[in-house]
This record gives sequence, structure tokens and C-alpha cells, in this order.
Amino acid sequence: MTRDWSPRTFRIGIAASLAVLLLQWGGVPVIEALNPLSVAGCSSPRLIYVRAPEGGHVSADVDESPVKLVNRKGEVTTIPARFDQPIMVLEKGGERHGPLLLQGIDRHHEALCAWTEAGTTACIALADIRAIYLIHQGNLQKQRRRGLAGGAIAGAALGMLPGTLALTQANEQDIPLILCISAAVVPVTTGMGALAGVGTGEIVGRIRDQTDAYVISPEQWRFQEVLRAPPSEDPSDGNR
Amino acid sequence: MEIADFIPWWCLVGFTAGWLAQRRGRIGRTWFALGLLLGPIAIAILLLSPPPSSTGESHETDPV
Repeated sequence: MTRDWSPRTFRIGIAASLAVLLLQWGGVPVIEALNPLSVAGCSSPRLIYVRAPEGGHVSADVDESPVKLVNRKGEVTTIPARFDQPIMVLEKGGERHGPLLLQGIDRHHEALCAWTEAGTTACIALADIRAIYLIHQGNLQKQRRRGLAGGAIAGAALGMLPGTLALTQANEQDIPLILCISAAVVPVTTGMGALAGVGTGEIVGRIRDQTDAYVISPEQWRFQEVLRAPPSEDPSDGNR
Repeated sequence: MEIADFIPWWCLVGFTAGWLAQRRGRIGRTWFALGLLLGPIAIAILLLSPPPSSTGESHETDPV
């Protein structure tokens, strides 16, 4: 004979479950408010950075057209994007491309799926700590190798491998990299950065330095100011 | 949504089923497990089932 759990146990369980559910559904604004990225002006949980190929550019058409990436040879890569909210594609230097409809910006697996469909011509890194940390890792190069090694090991344990493969492939083959970032995981990012011996602000700064173009949701124009990249006055030249 | 996103929901249903079961004179822990497995169906079964008889399960014992 075993006594049942006490009624208090069930009540505590119900309360805890409800609290977690509320955080899941409504916690993103709270997390963003505490988010170091918000200080930098990019608090959107649906933020995509696009690094154009060297000598190439990123363009996008309106409506349901996918994102097109053009390399230095003029070869066009079409990303089979399936995003469901209007966003803008910007390039460093001030040219605006878009608006366009993309789908599933904050759905990491869809992004990965698009990468798979694009084969080796384009990469979309996973949209969370993995991608942020990998850019950070790629930029630091020889600096703080010991810290990075420790961070990489910890990161691998957290499942960074898909993002690692995407970034490696993009670097080796000089192909575009679309980096999706979810601000909801920034607290994790901060922890990972601490493992590598750097702060989140430094990681974000290095991402910004390396990014030639990026995609950002239209309500997040503050980031434009950070980049000092005003859009061109004539949007018609968006697909140069 | 990922599977992990549903865990709090499963727990909520499980704890609710257990709590309701205790209030209805049944074994809360057993119905917590049923709630995890069956979700809202377990709560429906609990609410639709007749009260336990004196020889049936009670919240003081656990046949498992």
C-alpha cells in the first residue's frame, strides 16, 4: 500500500505547468526586454541576416518570389523560401530590396529544409544560438582558441552540428549564408559567449561586421540605424 | 512546434487529471499518469465515469 501524492503536489504541478505555458506563449517580449540584443536595436525574434557572396548581391522580388542570391559570376541562386510575413531585404550600402513575403522565419526546421532544397548553392544556418555562436567562432579565428575550443565542445553537446556544417560549407565554397537569429535564445547565447570568454555584445558586433546584407522584419527599422545603412530613395533599382 | 513545446501541456493535463481524480475519490497518481498518456481524453473519462465504489480504488491506496 502506497499513499497517493498530496493534493498540494498536484496544485503545485498545475501552477508550474501553467507558468511554463504562459512563458512559452507570452514570454518572448519579456525575454526580449532582458535581451542584450535589444540594446543594439535588433530585438526582433524574427531576424535574418544574409551574407551576400563576395562581389555578388542579394535581391528579392515582391509577392511570393523567393530570395535570389547572385555571386560574383552573376550566377543566381534561388532560395525556396516559405516565409509568411512581409519583411525587407537590405544590403549594406543602402540599397533596399523588397518587400517580399517569406515564411517561417522563426521556424528553424523550415529554414534548414530550405537549405537542403537549395543543395550546395546556398546555406541557411539554423536560427538560434548555433548560428550566432558559429559566426562568432569564425570571426575570432586565432584569438582565444582555448576558450573557443571549450565553447565548441559545449556547443556540440547542445546540438550545434547542423549550423556548423552550414557555415563550413558556405565558407569553403564561397556560397551565400543566410543566418536566422531568434532572440528568444539570446540568454543561451550569452551563456555560450561566456564559455568562449566574450560577451554577447561582442558576438553581435562581429556578426554585424561580417554581414554584407541581411533580412529584417519591417517593424525593426531601428537596426537600420545601427548599421548606418539608409535605404535608397528609389526602390525600383532593388534588383540590380 | 517541437515536441518539447508540448511537455508543459502534458504536465498540466496530467496534474489536472490527478487533482480532479483525488477530489473524486480516485488515485491521483494513477490518473496523473493517464493524463500524461491520454491528455484531455483522460480528464473526459474521469469526469464521465461513475464514482468509485467502496471496494474500488481510493485515494489512500495504489494498486500499482
